Amino acid sequence: MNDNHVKLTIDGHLLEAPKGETIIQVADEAGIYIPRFCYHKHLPIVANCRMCLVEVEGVGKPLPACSTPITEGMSVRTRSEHATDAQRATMEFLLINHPLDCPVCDQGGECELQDLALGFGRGVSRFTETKRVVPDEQIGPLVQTSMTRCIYCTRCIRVLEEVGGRREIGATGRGEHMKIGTYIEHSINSELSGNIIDVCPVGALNSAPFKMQARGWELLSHVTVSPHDCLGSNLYGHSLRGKLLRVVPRENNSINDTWISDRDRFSYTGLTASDRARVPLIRRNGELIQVEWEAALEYAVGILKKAGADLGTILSPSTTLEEMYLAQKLIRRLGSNNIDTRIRQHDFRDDVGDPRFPSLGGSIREVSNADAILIIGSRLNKEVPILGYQVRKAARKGSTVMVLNPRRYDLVLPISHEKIVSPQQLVNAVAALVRALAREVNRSLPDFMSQFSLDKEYEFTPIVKRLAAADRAYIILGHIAVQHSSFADLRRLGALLAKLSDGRFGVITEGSNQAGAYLAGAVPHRGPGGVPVMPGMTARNMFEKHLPGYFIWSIEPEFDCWDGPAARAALDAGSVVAAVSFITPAMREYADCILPVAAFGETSGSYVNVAGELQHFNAAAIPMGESRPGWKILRALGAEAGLVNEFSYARLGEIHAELMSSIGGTPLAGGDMEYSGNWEVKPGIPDNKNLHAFIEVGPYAGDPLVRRAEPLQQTEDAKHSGYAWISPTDARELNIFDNQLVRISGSGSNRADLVAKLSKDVTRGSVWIPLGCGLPMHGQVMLSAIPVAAEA
Amino acid sequence: MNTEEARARLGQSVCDEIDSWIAKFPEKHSRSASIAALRAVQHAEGGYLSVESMDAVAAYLDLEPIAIYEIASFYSMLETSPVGRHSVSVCTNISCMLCGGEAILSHIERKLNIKVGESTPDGRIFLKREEECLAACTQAPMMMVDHVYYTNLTTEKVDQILDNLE
Repeated sequence: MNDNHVKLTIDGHLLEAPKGETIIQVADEAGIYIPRFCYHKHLPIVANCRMCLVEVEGVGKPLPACSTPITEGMSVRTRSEHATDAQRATMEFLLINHPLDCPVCDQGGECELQDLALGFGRGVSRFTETKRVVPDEQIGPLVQTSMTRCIYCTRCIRVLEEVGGRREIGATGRGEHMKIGTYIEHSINSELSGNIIDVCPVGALNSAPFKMQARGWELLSHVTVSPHDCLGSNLYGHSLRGKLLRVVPRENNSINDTWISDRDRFSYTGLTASDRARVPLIRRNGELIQVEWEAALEYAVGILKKAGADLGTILSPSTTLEEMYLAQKLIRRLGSNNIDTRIRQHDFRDDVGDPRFPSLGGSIREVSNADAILIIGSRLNKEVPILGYQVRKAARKGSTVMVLNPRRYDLVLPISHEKIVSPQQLVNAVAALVRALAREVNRSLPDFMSQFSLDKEYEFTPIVKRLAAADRAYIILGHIAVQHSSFADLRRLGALLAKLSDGRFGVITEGSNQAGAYLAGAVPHRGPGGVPVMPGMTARNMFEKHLPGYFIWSIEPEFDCWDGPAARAALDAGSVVAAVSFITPAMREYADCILPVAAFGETSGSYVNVAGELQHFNAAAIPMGESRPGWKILRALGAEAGLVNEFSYARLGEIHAELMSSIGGTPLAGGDMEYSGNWEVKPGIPDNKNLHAFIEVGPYAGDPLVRRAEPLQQTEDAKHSGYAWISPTDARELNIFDNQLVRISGSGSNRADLVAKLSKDVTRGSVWIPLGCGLPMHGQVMLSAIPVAAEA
Repeated sequence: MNTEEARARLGQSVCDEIDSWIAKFPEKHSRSASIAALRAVQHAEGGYLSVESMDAVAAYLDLEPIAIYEIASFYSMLETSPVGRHSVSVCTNISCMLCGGEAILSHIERKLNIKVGESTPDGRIFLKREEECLAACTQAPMMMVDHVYYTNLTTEKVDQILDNLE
């Protein structure tokens, strides 16, 4: 027997378990059920519901199984008269104040209190006094409260503290007057707030969008994966009569544990947006008219073929692996190599040095086990909420979390060292950090480092000391870095930082399948299997160049591409086949053929996440209107293009198998952290009088589906993104006041009129603006107040 | 609110008292000073804790505001809505009851023309809800004024104590 293990019996079963575990953990492991409300395996133990009382031999009173550690020779009885008496008594107390409103409660049928009341409750209540009533609180557009139903298990408090990172709610008052809430009414702003719905064992906290939509037992559950970020959180899609009505987490302890982000949970509400693409449309005499699928496919193939080698294909990075594979197969067979999914990337200088696929450079667990984490250019908790949670987990285990960002963000993390530099200077700052670290660890630097000038001194001592001392350092580059115009340099420098600290390096990619795009051959320099091929044009080149024909897939270039205005101009000039789930007003102007594609939840497929994990998922709902799963559309386009034999797949599995034969099975190797290749570095832009505008991709603005998820758009996070954020110093010099309407003019006729907000979190010389406002992700701008008279 | 703003809001003498409590606990356990901090603020700020003052305490102790709201709303010695400047609570538990505690309470109610749980209209005195035993049975009847014990009460003595309150 292992020294660290003890032997005990539970209900007569002889068990062995590690010291320090509690009775309920051992019992759960052994499949012995003990009733509980407050205990949750991923949350701290509080033992306040008393439902899990069990009898322990030699102890006179029943003990809570959740908080009683096991001891050698312990004998536990969970079903003895003594134990069940205690459990029944607890149940009776819990039901004293619980309302009998199950018929109108959304939790009905999937309620832990209902289940346990059936098992442990009395048939008749002895309580004849008046039940208490608790007023509801408005805590935002996502969670519906019915606080009278609360049984004070405090799981919601602990979820927000442990998972969300901040105590946003608490238990105020005492005894009969205790209530769960925010005390001062305000919305809960955690990007992981929806998890309180799952952990609530009663109907006190329910999904607001799902309110009165269906009963749990009517729903069909389907395995699915998040389409919004590169972690690929595991989900279940719940549908009723072919309609996706709810999304809940699916446990995966190597990715998301039992939690999901609000974005993953509520984005499905966008599926029924009024601008859903429901029927195929083609342009005839300048008008988009509805046609049969056959006519639309013929028309589309006509455009694709006509453009031939000069066709530009831009796919969403959240397209499924199979669709990416078919799309590249189709357009490469038509003679074009111009295919890309890296729509918000601008700097492609290092393509030649790319690894097999971009990745985190390790598993997600390795991030949560790192002892020093440096986050560069990322609003981590909003970009990839579950990765933010994993870093939070690391911090709780004692990891030092450090940040080097071009704007101060509240990452809801215990940050040990934070350095804020202007976005223009980000690359120089990282270079200075590399240099300081090399000096600290006494190692030489590669030649290219000499190209960075040393015109500015940065104080990095605490970060450098920590990185040098760390055993498991992790350098993470976020979305702001990926969108940066010096991304290639940032990536090379980040990898160098990891090398110098003997740690790991990873890039958080955009979309849910960027790694998959490399493996499927949907980037210009890679064929199926991630094999290097003669490079075609990048997404950036395709829009800068004005090609005769474009094939866009599930993107809205005015929002989703690095240079929205340039993309719009290119699409206006060329012929456009748009395979999309939603139709923007702009699309009605530039598209010549619109093919309605099934959206999230309506199609099966697979994604490769940023840790190189291949995950499959099934359709949970029926595609809306006449829209069809993307792979079927591509199969039909292939056949229409005369490639009948090559596109004669009967099932999705055949496409997957064909691709996997070139990828060569799982696990997927080669998501490396080293970047080779040589290119001239692009040093930062000096901090001078010029003002630069940078787009902030808000947490609920990143893709077409979330932009249409109404409940998410009503959150504080979404509202926060809609302004021009400027530093108070710049504002003073420009004579701009808080909440003033300003005009931001970029190159050419690019301009945006926005409401200015002053914030010390923004560095001097930069203004942060929302997506889709009519300016590229980054550019020099002029900012001026719009006189009040001109507003009308 | 940051620490400096909190310091400005709370005032130097209150901060000094909070600091003296923080010093009694191990490092990084400033949360342990919450109750003492709230009591000090309540005394300094007219007998009750406004949301702003609780937020200031939270910022000063580096806690989430809700952690302070929880404590302030839990303990009956802490008031979270405006009450009279001086808090008076009369014990009517068994020993005091036998020695005339209830008569003392009725005397105060008549004298101030308010009921238990109310404050005088001039905002001078808050007559707290009937207090349970305050562990001064040997000197019953007793009452507590601004957290200070007054024992072996008579109506004359009560009049004197109350009349001396500002």
